[in-house]
Amino acid sequence: MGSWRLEWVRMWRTKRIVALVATFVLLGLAGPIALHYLPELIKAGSNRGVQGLVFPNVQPVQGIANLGNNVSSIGTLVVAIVAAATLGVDSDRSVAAFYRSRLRNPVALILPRLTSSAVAAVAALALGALAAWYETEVLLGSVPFVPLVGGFLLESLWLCFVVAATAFFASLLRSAAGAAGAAVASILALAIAGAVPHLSPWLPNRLSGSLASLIGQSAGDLWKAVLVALLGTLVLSALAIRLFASREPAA
Amino acid sequence: MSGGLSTTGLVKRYGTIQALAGIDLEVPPGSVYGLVGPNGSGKTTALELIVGLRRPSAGLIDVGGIGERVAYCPDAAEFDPWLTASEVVTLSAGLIGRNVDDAKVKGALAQVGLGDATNRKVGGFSRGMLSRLNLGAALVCEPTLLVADEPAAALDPAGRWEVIELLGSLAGRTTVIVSSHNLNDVQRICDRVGVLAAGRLVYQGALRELLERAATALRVVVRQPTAPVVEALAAASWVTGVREEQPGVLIVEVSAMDAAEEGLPVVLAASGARLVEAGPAEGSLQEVFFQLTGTGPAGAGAQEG
Repeated sequence: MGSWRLEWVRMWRTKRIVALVATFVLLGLAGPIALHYLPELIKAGSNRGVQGLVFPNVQPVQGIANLGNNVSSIGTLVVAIVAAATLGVDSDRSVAAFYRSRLRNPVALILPRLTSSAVAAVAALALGALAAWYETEVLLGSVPFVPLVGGFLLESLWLCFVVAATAFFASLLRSAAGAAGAAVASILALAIAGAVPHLSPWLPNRLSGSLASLIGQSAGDLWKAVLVALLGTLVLSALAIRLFASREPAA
Repeated sequence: MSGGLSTTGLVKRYGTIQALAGIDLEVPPGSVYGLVGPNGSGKTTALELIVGLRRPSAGLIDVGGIGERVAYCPDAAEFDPWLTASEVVTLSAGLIGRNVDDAKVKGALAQVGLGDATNRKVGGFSRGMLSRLNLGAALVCEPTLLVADEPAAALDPAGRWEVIELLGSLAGRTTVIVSSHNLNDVQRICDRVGVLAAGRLVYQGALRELLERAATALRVVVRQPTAPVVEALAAASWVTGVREEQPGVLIVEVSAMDAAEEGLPVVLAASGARLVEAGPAEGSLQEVFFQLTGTGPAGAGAQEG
């Protein structure tokens, strides 16, 4: 067993892959189902006296948009937590000694963990998007395919950025909980920074929710955010590897 | 195997705290080297520097010809709890780029007494089992240098005996550096020792020399009657005093250990003694350890050596 297979085994045995997939698939299914049945539920639950309640027509794209909105919040949080748990190499001093005394190359120590976290997040998103698309087709009607794929790719890039940011914080903080917390705090800071008009187009968190927004706009509007997310993912990953390499066991 | 391990002026500082103050270790190839010292003396720091888990603040580490495959057994070993024992051993080899077959994995586990726990998840292992697995995971790498930090600390007396014997049996094939609080373990398997106190190497050399420094007395057990033996020993030039601690147990204070080792068999034979056992008086290594490190119940002062 090498370090790549180890990470595959880690994802399964710790049930982290199950947590990711369950979260994204549930989010994907919940949107179209809620949109389809919500009027009936409200009518059934309302008082008999209420009359003339009018519900707007539900557009099929809203089924997918719901997933996009939920990925921005719940999905991103779950990805950060799973990535922090996987990348918390030094959270247990004794376990860390086992890996670090054998894997001298920091790339071999970190890259499989980084990659497995990103691949698992993107795979879970893909299954969630597939579930949302299927449920939307069945309950609400057809959605345009190309924007859906485009939105999925941009949303995937955002999740990769989240994983890289979490890796960076894990390389600064030994505690996995601390790394997850710092990653979430930095994402919130990006959301606040988004209020600055000149800064907003460059922020990678613009890609968060692409599944929702891309159907209504062109990917061309997002090239600045794509560029920053790509560069940010690479730079944060490289920094994380470098910082992990220079870290010593707790004294 | 060529060249040993040596460090030159090895210094490690944690902020303002100096954990190691320039130590010069000399570990001959194929030897079993015991690193002893009280808590906080810098043993673990020294071992972690040797295996590359830490970087020295100053000084050099030369692992020479024995640094090709280094295996480290940290104290209080832990592994990912969702791995089985055989997976830990396979992974240990895999991480250093060695593929091992099932037979080798089972062999390594059997060697450390975990042959029945091959497919058990290590999350349910006791501290003793984890210590054994720690050693098995190191041995499967067929290391040229094995560094073990308190390898038997969590084991019961029988387990301790087995693990220490196993480490001792590697002598000649593998260079072993072992740190231990238990001086009896060191005395059993090490041919060379380094004594650390407050980050300084206060003694380094052959264990025998350290024992000689310590052993100013021999414990000789003979069958009754003891009177002729006591009389003969008292007359020997290298004997400074004899007392019968218990019936048949003689404590013989000597002026020089070399002379005692040569003279004792002659005196015993001449006096017609029926010898049961002879050796350094018990606790002698402990006493010299206390002297060197300035520790111990008597609070003896430290001696630079």
